[in-house]
Amino acid sequence: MNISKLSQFGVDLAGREFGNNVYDLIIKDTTFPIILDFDGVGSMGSSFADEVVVKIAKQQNNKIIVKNINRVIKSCLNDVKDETGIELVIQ
Amino acid sequence: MSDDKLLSIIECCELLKVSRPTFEKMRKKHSLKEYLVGSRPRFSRNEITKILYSEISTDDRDARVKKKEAKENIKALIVNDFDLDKAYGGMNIDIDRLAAVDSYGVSSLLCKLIGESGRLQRKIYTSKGFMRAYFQKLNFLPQLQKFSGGSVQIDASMLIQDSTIFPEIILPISQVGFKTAEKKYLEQIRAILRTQGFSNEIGDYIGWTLGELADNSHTHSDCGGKVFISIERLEAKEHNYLQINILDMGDGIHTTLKKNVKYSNLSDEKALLMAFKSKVSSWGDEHQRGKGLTDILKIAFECNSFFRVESCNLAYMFYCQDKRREVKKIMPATSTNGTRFSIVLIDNDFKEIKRTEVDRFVDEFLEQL
Repeated sequence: MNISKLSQFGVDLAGREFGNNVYDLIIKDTTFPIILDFDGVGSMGSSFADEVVVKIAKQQNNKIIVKNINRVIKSCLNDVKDETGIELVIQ
Repeated sequence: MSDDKLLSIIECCELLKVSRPTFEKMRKKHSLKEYLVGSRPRFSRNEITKILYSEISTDDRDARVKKKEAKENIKALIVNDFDLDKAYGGMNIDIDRLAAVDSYGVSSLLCKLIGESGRLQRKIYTSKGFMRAYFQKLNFLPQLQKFSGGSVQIDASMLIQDSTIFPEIILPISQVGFKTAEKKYLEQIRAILRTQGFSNEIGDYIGWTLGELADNSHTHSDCGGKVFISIERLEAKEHNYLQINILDMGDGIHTTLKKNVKYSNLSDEKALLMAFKSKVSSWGDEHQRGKGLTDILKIAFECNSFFRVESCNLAYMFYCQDKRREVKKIMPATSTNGTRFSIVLIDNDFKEIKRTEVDRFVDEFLEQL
């Protein structure tokens, strides 16, 4: 499975437009399914998550696998999971 | 040494907010003891802190003690009504007339003066060294000169250099001129916070907070790049507190939300509070926007904290604490157009809060309006 390291886009990931740009960059260089690796990422906003996490989940049976998430990112992801119904797998 | 920490020269410079040559001078002057770790010299944080206070002149020390006393009850500054108009006397602005001011008050005064520029010619001055130094260290004057178009004359009394050190200023007033521009400050902020003993999590929450609010300012309001952030450490007994200020000169939250016909009939007060609910946005529902302000409320709850929000001439305090959950209307620092936040994040045991709980909290107060 492909692993996308989100730290290449910064430590703090926020903003819908930025998220949309990041999504385009991720899918340009890889094929689904993708694991999102948050090693080195400190925070992520809900809008960014909508544009990246949810969109990727929709491409792989509504499921997203993430690794190396801290408490702050976990809190955001749990809300995204509740609101969108995606399956969240934390490695 | 049990409650102490050893700092490198770079960390000492960051804590003292001085250059390396200045640190070397201070090191000699105070005969600072070296602790060798391997072959590298390290210095006691407690001893560095003592230097901080000894470098302050007697007059300024008195003023500083008064400020510290005021800050021990942080609500006195954050929560109370700021009356920036007290500094105004005719066309002159005497900042000495402000009984108390913090980084949010200084930032608000900056926005107020920029908002007035082009219409009025004013002159700003002071006679108190402490006030002058505080405004200088917060980077107030360069920002004022840059954005007021020369309509505020800065008296020579504001320009006298002062050696007072303000280690509590983590980030002076800085412009976030475009989307994602806040990122360049975050690395620096995290490094300073680590030196000063804050947790990594508080740095992460600051990154999230600034990311959301700066993005909102640039996305939803025509602020012309006039977005200002600053961070100040607050002195409190139980935990480390940080005050994060972010102010823009756009249309304000309620005005922006009411551009969506769905919310156009709401009162200004209701529109301002409604904007904190998830999926409420100035954009149509089909865009599925409206999460940024809910994130801010969620962050405040997760940090057991509180914040002040101003939207043009409206202001509210949001208490998101276990001991107090309330939204209270207060007097704005200024009625200048724009959105202004002052968020107090408390470095304590963070707990996860769901967005649904945040929505319920807002609903309760909307019902009371």
